[in-house]
Amino acid sequence: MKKLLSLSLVIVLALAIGLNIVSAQTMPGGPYQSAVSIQNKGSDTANVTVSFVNPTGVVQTSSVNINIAVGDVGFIYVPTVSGLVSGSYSVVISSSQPVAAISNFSDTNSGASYDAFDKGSTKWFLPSLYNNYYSYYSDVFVQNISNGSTDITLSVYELGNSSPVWQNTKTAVPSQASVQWEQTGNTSLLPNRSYSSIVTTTGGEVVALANIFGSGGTDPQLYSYNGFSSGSRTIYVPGVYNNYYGWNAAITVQNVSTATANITVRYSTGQENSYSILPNAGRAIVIPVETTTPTGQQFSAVISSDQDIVVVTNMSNPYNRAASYNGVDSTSATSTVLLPNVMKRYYDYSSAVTCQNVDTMATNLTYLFSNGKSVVVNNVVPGANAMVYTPSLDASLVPDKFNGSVTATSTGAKIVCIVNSNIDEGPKRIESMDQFYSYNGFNK
Amino acid sequence: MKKKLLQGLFVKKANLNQLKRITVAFILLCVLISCTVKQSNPPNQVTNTPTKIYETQFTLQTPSPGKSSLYGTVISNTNKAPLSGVLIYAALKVPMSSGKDYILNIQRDSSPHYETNAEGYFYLTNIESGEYQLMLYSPFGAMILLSEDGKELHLEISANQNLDLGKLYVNWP
Repeated sequence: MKKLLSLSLVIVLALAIGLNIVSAQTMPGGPYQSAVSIQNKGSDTANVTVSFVNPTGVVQTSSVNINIAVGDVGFIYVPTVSGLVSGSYSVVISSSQPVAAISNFSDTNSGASYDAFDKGSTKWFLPSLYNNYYSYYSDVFVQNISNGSTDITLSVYELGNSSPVWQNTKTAVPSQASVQWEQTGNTSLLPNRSYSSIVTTTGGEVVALANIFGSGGTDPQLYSYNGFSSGSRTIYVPGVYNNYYGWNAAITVQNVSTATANITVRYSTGQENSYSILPNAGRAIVIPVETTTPTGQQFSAVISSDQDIVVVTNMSNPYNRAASYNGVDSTSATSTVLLPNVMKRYYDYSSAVTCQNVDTMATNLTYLFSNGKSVVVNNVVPGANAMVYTPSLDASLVPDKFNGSVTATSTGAKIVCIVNSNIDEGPKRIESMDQFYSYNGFNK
Repeated sequence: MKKKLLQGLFVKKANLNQLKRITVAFILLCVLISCTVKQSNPPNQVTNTPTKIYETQFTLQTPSPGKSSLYGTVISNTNKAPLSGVLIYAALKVPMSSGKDYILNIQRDSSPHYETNAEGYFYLTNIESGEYQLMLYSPFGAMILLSEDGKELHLEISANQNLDLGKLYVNWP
């Protein structure tokens, strides 16, 4: 009985931690190194095992139990795993308690992060793919997490066309193996166009993500985002920027239904724009160019649609800092969000925590830092956000060199949150390098 | 005169014998002491008594019964200067299923850690018995601390130790 219970509590997270290394053929820079942070969200010590799987699906090595205390964050820097030769790996994390995990990967001047997956699907949507989209390119990575082999197909769509402009199938991909598609040099994808895509399988469940990288003047920029296994008719975007201290954002909306989606994007600054998007296609909205939102501000957005959609947001600044995060649907929203990694002038990194009220009533937000101090923002109206930038907090609340976590809670309303972290101090603040990371909070 | 000289020679002979005996006794004592030190202090675990310099830097805490402490100085390999304000962790070596390899794990809040002071000193306390390496932790990467000759430092910590690791080096920043 005890054994059954412990088995039923096992949670498997898949992390394609090293897959970015494979893409070094096209991705500038490297070699890339990965770090994995695992937070125990449970009520007892988590017994965690970590397995490193090579691209052919062979488990290269596995740890025995790693214990992580309640609420604590276990940190594994992959280059320090003895016996693991340099290369590309995915990771499977099994735990006796609920855990959340983030993977960061970086070289000397570029970095990105993404969340681990806690479930697979036979269908994934990736809204932003590029082959020289104003010098941006992308790679798609898919891992078969089912027990048997499966065929995996990538179908690529353009705006205004619900049929794929390009399709490719990798056949009989073994269990746990990973495959990759590079968009660079794909002559079916034209320059300066944004494409969306769908990953499908012949039955086996997979996980999928995409990396985007710049070239030429945007060479250091590196983005990574998780695929979406399903859509929703209302999507929330907690942080959008129009030349906000130089930061800009682009929102890409993909229609994941079988009928034309009529969408409305409402910004918390009051402006709104409407678009029609054919099935499977995606629409990129470059905020400073295609909206009338006020310049010099940060705000949030609510995207409503008559069909299911998914949304990814890309952010960058003039110093080539860049990152992505996923729009969130209200069904996954709760009144408590865990944010495992928040910093204040920690090795010159600082974080901005941004939470959006996705409910129908105004609410007060409390940001409880892991040092026990909290910040309260009152009366956040529906759809609006509240951003807490750690360097602006008094040292008596959050001292310099803080490296901890934040729990965001509302007075009843559902909220969603993101955390952006950047080198905001010292000479590196204005160096052309991408040490900017963004992740979605974990609703509890 | 000759007698005096002979007497002097005799005295000198007698002193030489005494000196030999003292020297042999001293060497035996040294060997005995060095054996004692070796038994209680394996390499890299030099003394049970913190040196004066650390007493001026830290309020040394007595580890909880059965637990141990480590202290030392972190030097940057880049410029050979002490590293201040960096976070040093005792990273537990968790075995891999193969048996011969291991993964270094730190828990951000509950693993023993210390932020180096202006002189690069760190002091880790309440360390459970086990095998460790020391790591400099940064948000998106980590570096293993090395000995002066560039070798990785592998520590086998047993109960109730208070160990001076001396100068340690790291390839940072």
